[in-house]
Amino acid sequence: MDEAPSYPRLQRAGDSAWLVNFGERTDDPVNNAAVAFDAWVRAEAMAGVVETAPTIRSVLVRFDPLAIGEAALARRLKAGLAERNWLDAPPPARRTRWHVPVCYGGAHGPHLDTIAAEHDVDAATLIADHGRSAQRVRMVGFAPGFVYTGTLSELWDVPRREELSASVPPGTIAVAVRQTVLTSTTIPTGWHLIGRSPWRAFQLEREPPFVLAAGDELVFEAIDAATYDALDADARAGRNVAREEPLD
Amino acid sequence: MTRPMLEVLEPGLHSSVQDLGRPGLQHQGVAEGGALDPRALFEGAALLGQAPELAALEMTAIGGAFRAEGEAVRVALTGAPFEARADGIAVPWRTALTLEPGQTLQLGKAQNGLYGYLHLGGGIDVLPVLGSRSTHLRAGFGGHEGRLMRKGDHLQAGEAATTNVATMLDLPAPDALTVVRVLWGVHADEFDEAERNRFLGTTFRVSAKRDRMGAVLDGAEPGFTPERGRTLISDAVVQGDIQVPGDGRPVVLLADRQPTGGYPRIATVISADLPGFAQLPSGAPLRFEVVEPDAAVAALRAFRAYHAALGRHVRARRPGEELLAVNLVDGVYAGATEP
Repeated sequence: MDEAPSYPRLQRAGDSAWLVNFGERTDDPVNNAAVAFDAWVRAEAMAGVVETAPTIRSVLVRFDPLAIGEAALARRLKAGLAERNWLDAPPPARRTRWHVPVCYGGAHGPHLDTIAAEHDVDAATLIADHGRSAQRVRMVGFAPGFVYTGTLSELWDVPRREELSASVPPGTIAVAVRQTVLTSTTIPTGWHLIGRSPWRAFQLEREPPFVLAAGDELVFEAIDAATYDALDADARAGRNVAREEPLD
Repeated sequence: MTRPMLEVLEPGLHSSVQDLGRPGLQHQGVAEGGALDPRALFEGAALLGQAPELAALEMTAIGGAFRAEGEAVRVALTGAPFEARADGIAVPWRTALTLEPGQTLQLGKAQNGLYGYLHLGGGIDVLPVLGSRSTHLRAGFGGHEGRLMRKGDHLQAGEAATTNVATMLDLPAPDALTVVRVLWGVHADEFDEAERNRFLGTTFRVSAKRDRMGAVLDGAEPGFTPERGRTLISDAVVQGDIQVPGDGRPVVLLADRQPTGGYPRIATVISADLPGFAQLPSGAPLRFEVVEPDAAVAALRAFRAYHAALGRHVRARRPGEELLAVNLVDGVYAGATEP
């Protein structure tokens, strides 16, 4: 397309969904906009809207086209978009900062040393840097409780690995392209495995099974292998092993 | 009190408990899942006189063998027709019948289509997980212990309110699709006009690389190339999205897809054609036709009307009566058997 598209814009995703796109960027303002607009759509509780999901920079709005026409829904969404400058939206109120225990390196994070060697730093420097600041949850997707956070320092500006790890366990902490991902189920991945947490964003045996909300933050805190084993036993018993810090 | 159950003597190739899925959790990374051919769930419900929300066994290409344990079990067979015998006697597809205690239902190969469904009177009684009885195979929850059926498993029937009447549908089975209708996708304009025309002009074949998550399509040489390369930010994807990964071979995303993805999506299959697409056997030819959104909604309306009318097309089946009945003039039996 020749003309540059303007944002926010509605994109048709089949006959039963609109994607509300806030821009081809991955920064805080677009993520705040997506989270805030998702909350607006939910609060409107429009008949015919089946579900919504905020992503890194957009909101998926699934609907039943026999219950609400796509044009009628588009008008409602556009009216909502016009209500304010969503890129100015603050993070949601009453969000949580999760202090997530991580056992870095070794068997739990076999690729930590590779990244250290590439940047000519030691693993301890990387671990300290990874836990240095809170990381925003930018999206939950790909798999149940699969969390994307960002943005990390340039030490973590590494491409995905060429080789796929066929099966990594729940709780895996992996990095690529200045992002962290945290898994809750067993999946294949091409990301660099740097550690493992006994905590899960999704755990069926725990009540509630899903705990993260859009806008939450994660702070990764290094633990040793013995602590990992102890917390892992707690987590398996259904306990939440990440410390919750209320924000705002 | 014991409830009717089936023992799994042979599990088939890839059989899992599915219902209409668990919408509402995409924001937590859970796609809606559920039966790949929901039409079959509505047909099974009509044949057994029960709710379409109940779970059934989705079987892939080969059915398996099942024996009624303890007491009689009412079953229905829908979706892609498989060779079917009850204690050696041929059973027509799209019917409901009663298996007497000890009787074995043998389901062979799919004769056309891919996914067949075995329903129990009262549904398959497994605990709902996150609001659904569908098996999420990747994450290992829902359905029967979160996994495929194995030899020796038992399928417990739920509470059934109906009597043991053998029934059939006096409607022809849906035709196999050869033209699959689509809307242009979120990233259609990442492909130039020549590539989009080539996409519509290609006769594809569903490759053997397919499962409940998606189906890779063969037939385009070379693969399709987006103009700006592949640098998209990962975003939410929906069922029916046709994404074009690095090798240029389109993939149609299905019920168990990953809920987010970063590949460009050239088009999206309309809701009404998705079950028919999922049923295409590997190797079956198809091409895509772009329609207007209004046409997609009209097709969905007709699709739902078909489900709503199924109950009027259920009638008692006399012993020995075969599929010939589908050729009978419409309405001959209507009224006499209307529920």
